Amino acid sequence: MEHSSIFWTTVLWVVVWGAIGGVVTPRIYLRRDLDISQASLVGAALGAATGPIGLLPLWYFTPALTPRWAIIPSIVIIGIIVVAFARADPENLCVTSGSFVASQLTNGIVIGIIYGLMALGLTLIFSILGVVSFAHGEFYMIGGMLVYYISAEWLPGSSPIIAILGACLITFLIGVIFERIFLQPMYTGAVERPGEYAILVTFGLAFFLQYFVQATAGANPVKAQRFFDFPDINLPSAEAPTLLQTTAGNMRLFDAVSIPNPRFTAALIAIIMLILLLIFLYRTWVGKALRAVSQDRQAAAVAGINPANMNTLAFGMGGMLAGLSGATLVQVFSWLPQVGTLASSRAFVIIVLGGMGSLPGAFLGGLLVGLFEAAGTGCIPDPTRAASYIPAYGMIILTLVLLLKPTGFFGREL
Amino acid sequence: MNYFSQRWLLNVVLALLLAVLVACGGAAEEVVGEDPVAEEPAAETTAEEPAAEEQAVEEPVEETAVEPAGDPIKIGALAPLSAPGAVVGGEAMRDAMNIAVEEINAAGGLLGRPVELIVVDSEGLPERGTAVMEKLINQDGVVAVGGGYHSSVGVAAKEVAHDNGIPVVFAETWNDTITSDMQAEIFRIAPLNSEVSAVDVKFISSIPGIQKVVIVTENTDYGIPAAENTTAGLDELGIEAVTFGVDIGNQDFAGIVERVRAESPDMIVVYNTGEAAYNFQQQAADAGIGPQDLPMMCNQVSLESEAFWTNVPDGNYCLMRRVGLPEVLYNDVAKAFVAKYAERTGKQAAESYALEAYDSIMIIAQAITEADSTDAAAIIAALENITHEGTLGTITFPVNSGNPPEAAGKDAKWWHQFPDPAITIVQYQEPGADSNASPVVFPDLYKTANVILRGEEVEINSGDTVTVNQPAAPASDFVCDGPIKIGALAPLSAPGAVVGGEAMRDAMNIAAEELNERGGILGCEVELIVVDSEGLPERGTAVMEKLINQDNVVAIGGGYHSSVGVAAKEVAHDNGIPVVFAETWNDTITSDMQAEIFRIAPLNSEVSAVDVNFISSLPGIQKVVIVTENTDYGIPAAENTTAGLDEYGIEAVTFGVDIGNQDFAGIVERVRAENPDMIVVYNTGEAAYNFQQQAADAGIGSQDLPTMCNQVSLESEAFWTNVPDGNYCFVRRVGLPEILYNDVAKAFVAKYAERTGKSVAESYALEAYDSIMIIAQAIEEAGTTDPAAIIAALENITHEGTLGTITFPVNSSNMPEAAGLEPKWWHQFPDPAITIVQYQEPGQDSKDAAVVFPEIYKTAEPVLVNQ
Repeated sequence: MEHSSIFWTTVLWVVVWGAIGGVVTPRIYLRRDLDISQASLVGAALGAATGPIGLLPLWYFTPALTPRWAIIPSIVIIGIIVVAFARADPENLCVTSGSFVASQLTNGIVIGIIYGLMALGLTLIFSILGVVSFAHGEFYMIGGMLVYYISAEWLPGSSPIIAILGACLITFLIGVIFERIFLQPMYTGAVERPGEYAILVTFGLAFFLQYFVQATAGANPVKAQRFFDFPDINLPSAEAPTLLQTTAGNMRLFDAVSIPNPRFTAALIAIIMLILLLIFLYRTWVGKALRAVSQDRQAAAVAGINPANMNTLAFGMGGMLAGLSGATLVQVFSWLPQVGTLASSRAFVIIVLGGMGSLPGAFLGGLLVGLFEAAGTGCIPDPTRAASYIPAYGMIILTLVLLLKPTGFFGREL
Repeated sequence: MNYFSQRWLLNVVLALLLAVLVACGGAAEEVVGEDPVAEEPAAETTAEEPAAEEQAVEEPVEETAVEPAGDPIKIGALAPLSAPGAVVGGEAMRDAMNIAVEEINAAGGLLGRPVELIVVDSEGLPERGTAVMEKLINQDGVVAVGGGYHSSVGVAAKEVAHDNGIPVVFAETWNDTITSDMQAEIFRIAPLNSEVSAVDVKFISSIPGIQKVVIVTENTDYGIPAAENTTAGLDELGIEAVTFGVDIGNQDFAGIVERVRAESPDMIVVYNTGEAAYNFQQQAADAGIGPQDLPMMCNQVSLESEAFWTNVPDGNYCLMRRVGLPEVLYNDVAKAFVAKYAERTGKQAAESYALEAYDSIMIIAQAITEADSTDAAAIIAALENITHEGTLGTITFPVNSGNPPEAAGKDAKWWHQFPDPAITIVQYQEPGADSNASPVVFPDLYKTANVILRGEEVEINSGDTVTVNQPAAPASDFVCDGPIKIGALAPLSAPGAVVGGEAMRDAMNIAAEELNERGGILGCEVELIVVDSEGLPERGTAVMEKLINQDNVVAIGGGYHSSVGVAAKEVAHDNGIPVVFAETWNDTITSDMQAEIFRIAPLNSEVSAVDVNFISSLPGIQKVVIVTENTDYGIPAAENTTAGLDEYGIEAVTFGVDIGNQDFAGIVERVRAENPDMIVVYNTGEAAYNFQQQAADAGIGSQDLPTMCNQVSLESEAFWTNVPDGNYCFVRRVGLPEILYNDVAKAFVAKYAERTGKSVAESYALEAYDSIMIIAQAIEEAGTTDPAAIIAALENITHEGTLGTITFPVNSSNMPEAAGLEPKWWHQFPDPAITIVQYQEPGQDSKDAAVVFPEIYKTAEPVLVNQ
């Protein structure tokens, strides 16, 4: 970084005024006997974005606050940081190359969608069962393994759609059977400490699945072939494909943004599944029943919904969503019995970031983590370090958000 | 409960807390000036430490007949005077060292000046030991330090002395490391832990009917190696040993005693020192498995008879190892000292550590006199050449800078080590007996009575005299007591390079099978114990510990990841077990010049040199991007290549990634933005495949840009499964091209193909096979499984392996300096052929891939995809 003092001075300014706003604002609101639920978040965001210019009027007028008050200052903060970074490191690719930034953004969004899909399964389980599944990463791993084995070993030459559906079905069934046998006792009073029991039993499942796969499939990496080849398209013309150019394995947009085929396919499948999931949850009776149980189990039971069945369905669907994420990514990454470990911890970060039990929160969290990872990887000046700390980037944003909003983006207020 | 009652309760609690604090403070003050005793809890004795030190410092001054004049020469004295240290031992040493200084001053001091002994309390804690050593050297200005009881304290404190260049003569610290680190300032008159264990083993094995032994040890630098050495020694004689480790400050042994009982041992060995030894011994006796019920080798602290009988009233028939000659063989110096010691302390016998402590001060005094100076360097020089008539006999340090261990043909542990401290086993045979009057039961040379076991007198025979540094048994004497165990290190799970690890495992298994088909080694069956390093340094050290200390392997082969090798070799070094590394390239592995470490894989810097030569030979390469894993393999490889390319005017930009990384999208974009002419991949395992295919997906793969793929890509099947767009990859390959294979390699490849279904053997498979076969040959040539003998045989080996004729020409008889080479060539096979091959057809087998570099092996011209 050429002028690192510019960047770090700006960061210091933002942090100091953010801290002042976050600490002082709730006290002023409390003294005037006003609602303080958003005061810390808005105070911190406004302080970081504007310093005393925004804080003094806020403290003087003390308007009624909603989370929306924090949105515009948050955008301004990002803008300030970006400008400071651009001034500090004018030669950085993230400053000089628009196409590079666009490519990184695309990468971040594509991988973020898949992260979101995986985290969606975890948060669905949490919202309905109140259980954090530590076997989520292993469902992800099994989804990928199944796609490889169905498409390459068991039914070679078959359509990848069959492999994906097969993976979804089997992971769903594993989830259903496991929930029926091991998690149902939590709700019948057969288990004295259900919270701890759930943690232990899902841990047990995680170990079992990982080592079962290692024992049966071996520890050699496998990888599915890409599901579909891109058709050869050149727009507006083959001589000057400035709009769109595709080869079997790659798509290039506007002669700037490059999207590899496997990632594009994975994101596309993830988006389709998200839409189907939303339709299922918001348009079908069973989906509405699931949401009802997540909001109030007893009221849902009074309305004629069997919460036990919903538990089973939710755990099966959660496992299936993780399996589907793995199924889409096995054509992107080499696959091993251990791949679920990192994916699982990332999913935990995402659902805490988005708010435990919140479906939109999980999706937004996934996107944010994906983008943050892409930004860190792309923009950190030292190339020997940029990609060394990828798993840490999610933790940084998680820490920042939890400092200001302990319930995450869409978590229910305590 | 309402608000006021809560406040009331809070006030009461606070008041009570305050009262407790005041009481504690008062108690601490009251203890000042008293001698700490064993039974006092640590907290109280800790509170008095400054006062205790001051008192100890003043004590000799008060009692000294100050005849000499001038500023006193200050000598430091290290001893544990408070719990959790062995207080009984510490006090005995302090008294002995005070007697020494009094004698010196009575005789006119040193160099005409009085001597002041500054006694400090180590508390048996390493951190406290370093602190008081710092104080002695930097505040008190001592010219040398004597004493020292706990090994853990010695190991830590010696570093302070070493850093400050102040000589230390350790009196009672047994850990081998203290001398094996070969620090100029460190001398020792106590025996080596490994030698003491050897006596224990010999004694135990001479007792009829001992099949299983339980060892109870403290988790310290003394206890753990002692237990490990004894376990290993017993194992070689077919006696099972089960070890229970306990914390140094542990008091309650009820649980351990029950577990010991459950093991149904034939004998118990105690490696706890201090009060913990007494506690265990008496609690075991209370539970019916004490020394009156079962043969028990009590800790040497039990030689302090008064304290022993006070704390272990049911301790009759305790067996104890004792350092130093039996009283009947005492020389005049020892007799005179014991008389003074008895007068001062009221004890009838002087414990071994009291004798050693006395001698440690007297040796320093003689060295100062002979040096005629208080300069530390001069004292060290005098110590190296000293011949001191002490209570332990004639003390010398024959292995020193003028006669280093390599020249003397000895292990490093003999550096500055008094080689002849007699070690005997004595037994209390009457309740309340004095240890000095108790019979010596082992070895035959000093034996005064037969041992009594379970109430019966048993005649045992050591068969020979006890000697330290026993030579390795000659080949003809080798007795096969079960299979010879050889360890095999390989990454068999992620994030390690599983493909490579499995190939190595298969190759090493083939080697072991071949050896057994030939009748084994020295007539014994070979058992290969394969462990999974997972590619993680911490896991590597753990499995190395397991191999050495649980499985008791005699040598170790294999090894893939450099980061694992760098970490795990330290464990092998500490335990003196030879390792022949097969595929760990990091230069440090050999450049540390550890006696136990050998390597047949190439040096990272040499591989990088081949990469550089190849890249610079290609036309049009001006800028290279290196993608590397952040490991002990990847980082130096990238650095070496960057430096090498820089000399040719080729720019190199390095991107580092985590070893377990999957998603390379961001890095691929950054690589593209650099617009390189070539990409070099130093990721191993799946990360290499992930990067190579993701780069190909993004249009900058090996079909778009010249790419030096990682050597893991030689595993053709996995490569094409994971990198279907990997054609035109360049891959560096270690070992001769197949066309130049010798008969050994051809025979191995045939077996390997049969076992694995692969048509080609990867370089690491060849190396792994050779690593085991070299070890086997070394054991055969040594005629023993003694690690030191195996190491000596490895140094002189000429092995016809799959890689060619393997030797280690730079070794202890041809040091790197003498050979005019850098230390990295130490114990390094100098000639592993390195070639660059290129896949030139999709799905091609790596054995059919074209050799494109160097000229001597070339079978085809390289295909440069962008030209």
